[in-house]
Amino acid sequence: MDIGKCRVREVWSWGAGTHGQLACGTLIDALTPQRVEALSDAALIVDIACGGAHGIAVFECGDVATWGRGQAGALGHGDETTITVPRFISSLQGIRISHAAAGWNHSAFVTDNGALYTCGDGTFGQLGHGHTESRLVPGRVEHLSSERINMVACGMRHTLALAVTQGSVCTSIVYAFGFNKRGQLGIQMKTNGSESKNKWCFSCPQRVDSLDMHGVVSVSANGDHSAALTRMGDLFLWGRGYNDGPDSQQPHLSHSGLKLIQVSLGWRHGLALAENKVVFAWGNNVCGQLGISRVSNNSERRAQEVNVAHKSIEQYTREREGKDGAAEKSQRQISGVDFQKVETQGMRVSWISAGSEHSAAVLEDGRIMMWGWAEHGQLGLGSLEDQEVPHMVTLASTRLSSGFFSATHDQHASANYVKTKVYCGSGYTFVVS
Amino acid sequence: MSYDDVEIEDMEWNDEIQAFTYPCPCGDLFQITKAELKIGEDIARCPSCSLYITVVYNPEDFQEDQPPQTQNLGLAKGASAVKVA
Repeated sequence: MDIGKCRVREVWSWGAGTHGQLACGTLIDALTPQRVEALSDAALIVDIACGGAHGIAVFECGDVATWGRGQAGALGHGDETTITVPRFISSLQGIRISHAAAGWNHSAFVTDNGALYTCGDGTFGQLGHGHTESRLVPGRVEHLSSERINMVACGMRHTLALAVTQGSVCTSIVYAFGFNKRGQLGIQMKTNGSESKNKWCFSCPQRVDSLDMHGVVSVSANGDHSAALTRMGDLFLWGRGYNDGPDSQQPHLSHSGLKLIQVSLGWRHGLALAENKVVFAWGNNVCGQLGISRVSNNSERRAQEVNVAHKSIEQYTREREGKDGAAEKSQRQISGVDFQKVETQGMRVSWISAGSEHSAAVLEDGRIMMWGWAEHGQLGLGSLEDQEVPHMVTLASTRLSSGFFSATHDQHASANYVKTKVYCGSGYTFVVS
Repeated sequence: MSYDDVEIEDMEWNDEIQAFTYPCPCGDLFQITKAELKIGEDIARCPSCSLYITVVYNPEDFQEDQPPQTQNLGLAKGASAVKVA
């Protein structure tokens, strides 16, 4: 790659690092952003995934590198070794990977022609290979070999895969596999019919057929939660309930009143980005992960809240078909998820990411804001104190000071240019800029 | 405040550290030993952070006169990694 003409990326990491998950050659936490030399100024990174304590980088050329905790084969290198600097997965060489996802101890990779590969912990069936064994190197999910997969999301013990069919009508199918005790697979059956301890585990991909007609364009998973976003900008949530609310075995429409364009889930909270560049959050706020001031005037906050209709798909479909009366509609609103507007100081947001208990947003100008749990320095603010409202993170970029960035940026200010993105793992954070 | 209530059947037995474990949001593991369960302890702590969970279990399952059940309560872990070339 000609560095004089192509974009060069800088990668930064901070937060929990005792399993090598910061990719900086260390086994310690970092309270402020540190430049990840092994991933900066290298080939162009198109995607990063951060799991429980391991990370995945996908390069433009289709190669994949992993680092961090290697337990159960999550890194895909053929062993369970933990490594502190990224290493390319040799068994995937020659296969062009375009996207990846990381769960607690498992990994999933999507190829540019729609194949899905998984490795790591398979105890709960989350690898989708029809058994509950772990895999030390990525293996193709044969049950989905006739589908064109274009996105995958990994929760703690489950996986969601989005298949897209491009014919006269573009349709999508969501598949789910792994642990289903909290309803996170979104399927009709709660157990697999056995009476064993594995009764909650589905090791073959299951079709989330209630989402078939909704034009799902992206899926998200974390902890025991699942989400799907539709072409219309509607958000469906299922799995573990938020704020001790009941679990949802079936996807439920969670209506923000606005068209949503991105969703990211934590272990007890979720974030959604609306088309108007405003961020909404819901769920637990013990660590400040919702980004709303808890001391602010209640009535003021209520004015900002958007009440969320939480309904089953059948109810939603009936409404869309216009067979529903207004009185009936109001009765069907199930409380549970209240969207609250994140206090980003009025600044427009272009990208969001939720960690297990912390949150991040990239502003339209490329700056990064973080809030929530900070015990391991995962907010990058140099402090271990939780933050209940978003704070700006400072990256000491060498590129910005050299003037190189602005020149190349102007030349490539096109669809080719990939904006700054932030990726939150369990207790740590990565930025590609 | 307890981070979560977790049933013992959802915890995994880890041979290496001889404890039942459950993922902690910091990336490490909440841990509780059989000896702790036997004396009625129901708090599983994370060695890396301040968080802990409450373990939901039946203390009778961990008395010495009923040892066979304990091995089966958590999902067995560790020996299941299979190398596929």
